[in-house]
Order: sequence, then C-alpha cells, then structure tokens
Amino acid sequence: MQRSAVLIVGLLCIVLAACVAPPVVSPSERGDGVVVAEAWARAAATGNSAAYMILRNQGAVADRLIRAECDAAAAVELHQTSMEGGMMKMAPVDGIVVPARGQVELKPGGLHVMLIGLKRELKAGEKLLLKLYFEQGGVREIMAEVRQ
Amino acid sequence: MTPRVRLFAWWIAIAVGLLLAACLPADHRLRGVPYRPVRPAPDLALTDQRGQSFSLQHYRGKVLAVYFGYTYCPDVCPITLAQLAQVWRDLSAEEARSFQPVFVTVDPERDTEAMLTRYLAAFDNAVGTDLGLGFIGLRGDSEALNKVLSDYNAKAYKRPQPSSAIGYTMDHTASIFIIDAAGRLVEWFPYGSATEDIMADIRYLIQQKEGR
Ligand SMILES: [Cu+2]
Repeated sequence: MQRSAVLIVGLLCIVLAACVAPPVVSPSERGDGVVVAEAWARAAATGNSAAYMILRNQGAVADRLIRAECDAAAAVELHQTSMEGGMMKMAPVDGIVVPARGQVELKPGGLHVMLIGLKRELKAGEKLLLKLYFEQGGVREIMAEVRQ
Repeated sequence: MTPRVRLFAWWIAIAVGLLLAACLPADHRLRGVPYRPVRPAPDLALTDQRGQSFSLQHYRGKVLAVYFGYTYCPDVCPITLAQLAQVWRDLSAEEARSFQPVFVTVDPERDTEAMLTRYLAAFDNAVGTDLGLGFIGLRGDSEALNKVLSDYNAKAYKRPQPSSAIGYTMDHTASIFIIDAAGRLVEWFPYGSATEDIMADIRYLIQQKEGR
C-alpha cells in the first residue's frame, strides 16, 4: 500500500518536471531578428497589388523593414492606406518599425507592401517570392500565398 | 382622473405607439445609412468601358450599387468590388438579373477603357455566372466626373507622390451608393460595412420591386 503511494508520487513528479522544462525552440524562432508570418498577396489581373503579413520581432532590439523586392512588379514600395472621414488615402511610408519583442501587422486598409506595375497576373493559389530588407536583420526571402 | 386611471392611459398610449412603429413602411429595414427623404438618383453622365454612353434611365428595374475608386488602389477598392462580386454570386439567378454594380473611376487619366475592362473582368470571373454586361466601369473627363462627384456628395483629390513610382494617388470617398429599381437613391454604405448587410438590403430592394 505504502509502496504504491510512493510510486504514484514519484510518477507525478516526473510528469510535472516534463511540463515545467523549457520547450524546444527552433533556431529560426530564437530571438535575433524578425519572423515573418501569414504572408499573402492580393490576386490581381493587372495594374497593382499589395502584400500583407505579420512581422514578429523576437529580438531585444527594434528592427525596421526598409524595402522589399518582387520579380512580378515593376516597383515595390512600403505604403500605408488609411480612412479619414469616409475617404480612402494612401501614401508611401519611410520604413516600417518592428519594436523589440513586438509585432506589426500589414493588413488591408493599413500598412502594405505595394506591388506597382504588375508584369504578370497574380492568380489565386500561386506562391509569390518576396525579398524583405531589414535594417538589422538583413535580407529575408519569403513566400506569399496569392488570394482573392 | 385618478392617478391609477392616468397611469393606465399612459400604458395605452405607449402600446399604441409601439404598434404604429411596427407598422411603419419599408425604410427602417435598411441596414445602410438611408437618405431622408429618398430622392431621384442623380444621373451618371459618363461612358462605360466599351465606350458607350451610360444613362441611369436604362437601368430602371435594377438595383444598382455605385462605387467611386481607381484601379491603382491596392486594397480598399478591390475589397469593396470583391464584396459586390460576392453579393452578386450569392443572389439567386433570377435576383442576379436585377442587380448591377457600377464602378466609377476617379482617375480617368490612368483608367482607360482597356484598363477598366481588364480590371473589372477579374471581378466578373469571381462572380462566375452569366452577368449580361458584368461589372460596369464608368469614366469621363474632369468636368463630367466632377459633376457626378458633387451630385453624389462624393470627393476625390489627386495627391502627387514624388517619392513613389506610382506618381500620384487619389484620396477618394469609399462609400457604396445604393439606387433602387425605381431609380431612387435610397441609402449608402460606409467602407468596411459587412457583406451580409449589403446583401440583405440588395435582396430586400429586389424583392420589394417584385412585390410591387
Ligand atoms: Cu499602396
């Protein structure tokens, strides 16, 4: 009776220890630099489009997205759309700051990577390669899914 | 009157008021911002993407959704047109024949007929069914455009963007204007309205016309 109680307590301790132990962290998630998540671009037949994503900074220093490149567009710029009194406005921004241990969301109606002068149609379902240049973290290549 | 009788009279008055409110016609069902009073929709004296002159007169019997924008706009305009495409797709085949979305470009300089044709074809494809002419794109010279803008109390301003490859952007009203089958401007939806609300009103206005 007493021996089985000791056994149960012992097992519980092992389980608890396993839960408390730090989770395994993959190198890409470990601090230094910005992680890009949920990247997508709007399908468009012609003209312009935009790419959106979440920039997560897991590092201890702020970083800044300074420019982007994409083969499918004649020019790529960082822009911000805003609504003011029922009017839509859009203007270029001078980089997008990602605070230390913080995140910035590029989303419709807000910040975006503007794809100007599409060289080809962006069809829903395809993947689009984007190069992102960060002040601290350097270049990052990401794949954005094209969606309606 | 004793206080009790007076109280009873008040209750009766409130009950009658509520009943009357419930019987009031039509307009309160709209989910957008209604025009009070509703008024004849100002004409859109512009030309379409095929070079044909447009007249609202020809669209009596259809419910119209009119939106001002420009094809260089990367998200607010395509989001709104995609909403209208979704509404069109979700209507029954019969209802769909009584609906017509109209895109008026505030940037006729860059939005040529060819540009409008290519741009709007993508939204026609999103609807997928037989649409007759599909999305209508309208353009006009600055005089014609300014007349339409002021008639609809909409605004558009050109903003030079010297540091951008885009050259200039257009600040513009991003609301959807709804015209009923009798050619009356009945309501408008601000940008960001729920597709289901737009859908509900379009369907309601189409059914109202059929009930007449
Ligand atoms: Cu932009």
